[in-house]
Amino acid sequence: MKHPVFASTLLIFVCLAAQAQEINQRITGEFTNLRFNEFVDAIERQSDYRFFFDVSRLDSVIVNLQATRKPLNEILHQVLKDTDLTFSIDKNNYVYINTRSPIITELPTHFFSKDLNAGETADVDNSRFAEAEKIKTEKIMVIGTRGTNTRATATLAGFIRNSKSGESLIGATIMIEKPVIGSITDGNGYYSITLPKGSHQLKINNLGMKSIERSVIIHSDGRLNIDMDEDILPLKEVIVEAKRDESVMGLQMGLEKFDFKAMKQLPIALGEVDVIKSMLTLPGVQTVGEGTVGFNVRGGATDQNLILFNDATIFNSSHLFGFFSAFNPDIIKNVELYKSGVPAEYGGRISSVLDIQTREGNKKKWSGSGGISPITGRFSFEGPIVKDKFSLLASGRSTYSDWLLRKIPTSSINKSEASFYDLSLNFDYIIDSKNSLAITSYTSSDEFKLQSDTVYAYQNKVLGLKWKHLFNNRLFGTLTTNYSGYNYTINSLANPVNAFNLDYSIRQIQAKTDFSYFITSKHSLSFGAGAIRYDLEPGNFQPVGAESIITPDKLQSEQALESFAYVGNQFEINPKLLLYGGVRYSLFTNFGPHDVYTYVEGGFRDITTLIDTLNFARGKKIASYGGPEFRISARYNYTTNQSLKLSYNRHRQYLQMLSNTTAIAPTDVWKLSDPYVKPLIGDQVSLGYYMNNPKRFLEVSIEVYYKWMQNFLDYKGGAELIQNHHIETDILNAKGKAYGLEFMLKRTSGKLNGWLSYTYSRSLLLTRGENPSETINRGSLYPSNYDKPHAVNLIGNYKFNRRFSTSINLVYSTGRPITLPISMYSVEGVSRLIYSERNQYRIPDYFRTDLALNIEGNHKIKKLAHSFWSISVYNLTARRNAYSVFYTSENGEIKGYKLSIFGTAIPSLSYNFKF
Amino acid sequence: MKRSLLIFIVCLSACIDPYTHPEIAKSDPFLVVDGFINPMEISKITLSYTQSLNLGGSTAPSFEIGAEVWVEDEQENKFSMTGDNQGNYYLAPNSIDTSAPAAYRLKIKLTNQKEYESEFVPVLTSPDIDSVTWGLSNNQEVELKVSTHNDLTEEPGYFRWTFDETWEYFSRYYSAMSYNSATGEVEFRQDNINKCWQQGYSTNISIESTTRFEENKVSEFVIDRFKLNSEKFYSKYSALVKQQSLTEGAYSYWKQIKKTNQDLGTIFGPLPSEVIGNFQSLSDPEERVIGYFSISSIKTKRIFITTQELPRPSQAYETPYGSCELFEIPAQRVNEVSQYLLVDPIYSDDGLGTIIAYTFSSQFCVDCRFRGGSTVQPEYWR
Repeated sequence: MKHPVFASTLLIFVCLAAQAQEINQRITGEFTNLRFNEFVDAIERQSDYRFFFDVSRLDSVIVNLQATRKPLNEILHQVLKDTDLTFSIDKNNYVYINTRSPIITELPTHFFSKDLNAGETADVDNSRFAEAEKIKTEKIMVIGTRGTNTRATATLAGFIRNSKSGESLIGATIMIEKPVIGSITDGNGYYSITLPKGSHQLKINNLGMKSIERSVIIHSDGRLNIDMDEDILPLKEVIVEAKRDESVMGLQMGLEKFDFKAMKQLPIALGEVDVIKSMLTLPGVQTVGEGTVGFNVRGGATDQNLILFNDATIFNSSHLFGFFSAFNPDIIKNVELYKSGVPAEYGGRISSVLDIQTREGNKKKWSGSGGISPITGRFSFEGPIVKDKFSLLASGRSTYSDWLLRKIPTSSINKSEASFYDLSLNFDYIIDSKNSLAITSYTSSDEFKLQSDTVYAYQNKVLGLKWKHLFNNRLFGTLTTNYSGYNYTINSLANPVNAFNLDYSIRQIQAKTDFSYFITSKHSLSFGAGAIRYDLEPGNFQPVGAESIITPDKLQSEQALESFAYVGNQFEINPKLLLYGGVRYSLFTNFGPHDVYTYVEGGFRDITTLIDTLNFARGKKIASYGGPEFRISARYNYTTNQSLKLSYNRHRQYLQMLSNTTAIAPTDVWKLSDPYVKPLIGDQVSLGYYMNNPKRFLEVSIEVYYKWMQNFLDYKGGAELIQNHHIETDILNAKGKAYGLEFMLKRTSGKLNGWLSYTYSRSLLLTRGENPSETINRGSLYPSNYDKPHAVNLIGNYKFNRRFSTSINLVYSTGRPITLPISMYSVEGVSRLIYSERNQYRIPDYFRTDLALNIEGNHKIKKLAHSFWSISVYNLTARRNAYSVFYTSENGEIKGYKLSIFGTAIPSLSYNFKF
Repeated sequence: MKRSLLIFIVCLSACIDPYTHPEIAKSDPFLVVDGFINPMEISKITLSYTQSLNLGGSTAPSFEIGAEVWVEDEQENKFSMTGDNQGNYYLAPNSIDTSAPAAYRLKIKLTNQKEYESEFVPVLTSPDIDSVTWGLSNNQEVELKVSTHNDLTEEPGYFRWTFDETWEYFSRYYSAMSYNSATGEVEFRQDNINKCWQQGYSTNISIESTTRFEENKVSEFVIDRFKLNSEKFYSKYSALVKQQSLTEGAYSYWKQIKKTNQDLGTIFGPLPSEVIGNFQSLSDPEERVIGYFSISSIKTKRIFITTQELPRPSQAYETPYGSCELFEIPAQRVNEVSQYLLVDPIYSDDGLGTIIAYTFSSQFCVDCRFRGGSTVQPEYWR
């Protein structure tokens, strides 16, 4: 039995303590690397002793000792000797662990005598309690031993964890106010902070956790693991409170964070909380249309976003043509989107990094959660395999759309099929206080057939292993290795003579190490290196069945190695000025076996100018690219509530997507850089101003950016991208630039909260080749397919009470550019169209209103399941927003059409539960 | 639950509304060269101009009349084409030599002295059509399919198909009588204006290549599809399928036209682009000229599809007669029938058989010719 001990109850208890015989039981055992509560469990099992202590005070105490028939007080002396803790044992064999002064289990002998006054309780030193009361905490911990440290400072390090699940907390801040020194936990929940010796008040904050304070006295370097309690009132906007310090005080700019709690409050289409759709409510993140998961960040293409799922690349992040993103929201811990100021550890895509981290399984108890929405169902469960050491988190999600489709009495629909699922299984193992291991696996699968006989299917597969090792208080390292695979299949078997199967696959194996080195509280270093091996089977077109006369056609496989090393250095010059400088060096080599075509020197590349084929043997280098990528950021606080930030970034991208369609299509293929497809290079400069008004919970940010892109892929008119053996004859090399301004006003707390954002952005391309067929729009700048200059987002949440809240989402944006027909002609009696120069017109502007009502279950902490209902209407005004505008000749007549994806209001209801 | 999915799926396929962009710039007209040379038969090339986008309407384009048009071989031998007053230019059969491999180009000199020429193109021969068949798709559509093969060459073949179609159709009411306004008499009708033959032609671009196939063979390629309850299949339908061989260049030209005109707007549809043909202006290299010159013989094959062969459509035939109604007019006022047509007499029920009235209806409902067909049976009809 362990209970938090409260002074008042304790005193009463002490008063009523009956006299009991001292038994003085002896303890035997070998206690190695036990956390204090594990040690207590062991003692309680073999004796009558019962411990009373505050778990959070003892979370950093590790027990290492051997005992043979030793009395408990001797053992406890040994265990607690380096701490500021003392113990007392009363006559009932109740053991009290306390700070500083031992609890007196018996009153002074003359306690009840008449001549006693309060001042004379000489044996009980109350002064310290009074002092503790004054600084509003009872928890004073002593770190290290006095006199062993000759320096003026000492480093405190450790993990910050969720007290309930044992899961580590990323991005938790730990700081002292006098003087202002702060630190933040890294991706593993590890922090390190260097403080002046002496007594400090530590403040610890994290999203969704109760903020806590700890009093410490630091003598020398030491460990302090901190457990934080979950904020069990999910509607409380702790999320934004934690960000409040960060937006102004943090170095990072262009970073957007979301957790499940924030995401689930947004109105949702089709009843499912969606990672990527949540991102689209933020400034600078756009999509070409509804029903597309591909997203555009600050004028970049959809393939320029690095999507990481527990450090492994995801190549297709969508389900069901993009109506859902491929991640089960229940297992997501947090999502970070870097739009600028990307640290040196990330690389490989030029536009943004979307880093999705799943939770670690609960190490304390078994629990589960799930949800039901009109189209999908999902479930996840987690728990300790070995308590406090080894946990599991499993989740699955699927759709019942196939079953529903068959119920619809229209032949064109009930012959359609669409199904998908995703599964993930994660293990987390704490080997000892310095080592832990995480294993992640993920798979998603889609298959659909719409009114036709052609079946499309695709799969993502991910397997990852991450070993975290703590060298000492200042140096922390991880070793990560993972596999990411993506493949698709298209087949059509209806006509046996033309029956075919087309396969595509990309595989990526990565190994890397990352280190964080906390030199002082003002200076930290991150560094690492790694390599990625790519293997592509870009297309295998095969006949199916004996009757098929399809010619087998297999594109040559591609293989390459990308290796990289980086170092990043963060330095606080003074409390106002914080600098980060990083450099990443990447080297990419494309190697055989592969045949490369050569073309007439200087001429345009075309099948007519193909002159030779060069054969590269296995492992022989074909093309190699590389170079440094500089990452620089600076923050200047000129008042405590205002700051300016500046960053410059360069990125290189060696893997691009060939896509001739507006959105990401299931047939789009990834292509490695080769002698003709040069790597994409992107540079971005951004400047931001951040201000907050904590009293009114208001936050304002303005960011401006300018980007340059080199070697952007563009296509000749009518380019053929599928099964093309010489793609270099159909692609063009464009230059791009993008610039914009993002404004955001946010109210972070209160009954009414939310944000209003306005974005002005442009994304322009320039393709100037040596001859007209390689030049677009006569060599002048033209808007990219996703250039949407104006965008306004309004997210408003209103809490009626703890259980009911409503939210509204208004979205406005300029229509995307489009190439339209400008005149027509007749051939053989049929009217046909002549198109304008590329992207000279726009589809109508986009506007949408969504409304949601969220109902939380009752707030009893203990009940069978915590539930959450969401009723939402997507596109409340039923506006038929154009996805595309097109002109087509029908029976010889030209007709203009507008295609809308969600052309009506879509109500949905979803039920989510957690137990 | 089910309803929102229903909306979702329906919208996926059906949320398409007519739309006209408010600001489509007017552009200068370009020359359009339409047609090809069939060495065996009389060939026609039509010169016209592009017109600004006139959605839904079908105003005739303006034609170039009185231009000089000729086919030229590599030795600059000219084969002149003779023009009419509608922008058409004709070349007599067997004007050019197809026995030896040779290349020809088309040259044009407009009345405003601007000159244009095509690239040199070879003379192609189309193999025979193996069969023209029909089939039924999953969506209750009749598919017109063609199969062909070429044993003569190992080179992959590129084909284009067009067709002329003919179908029998009927007016809503069979007219037994007619009112002769000259004599003022009601006569028994001698001609049958209930049954007509309508002519049509293909509007889709149907092209296929055999590059993907091991054999130089096209099997049951669908060149068009029609609804099973189309009026075309009410009685009997026939199509004369014409097959033309293409060069690789001509094939990719037609493919691009097809892409930019027929395949756009689907969710994963390609982006439209400018289509470049094989003509160029000698006066101004920047000027756009629309068209692709090619020379090929044509092979044809006819197919008949009768209603008895087809399954019964689940929905009624799509005829435009929904609003047709029969009216009555007393016999003595039959002269007032004017533009309406008589259908049947109504006899008195006193046993004497006197005509007391006539039923009548509009010309549209009675005279099938009103809808553009002809009552004369085509000679190939069987």
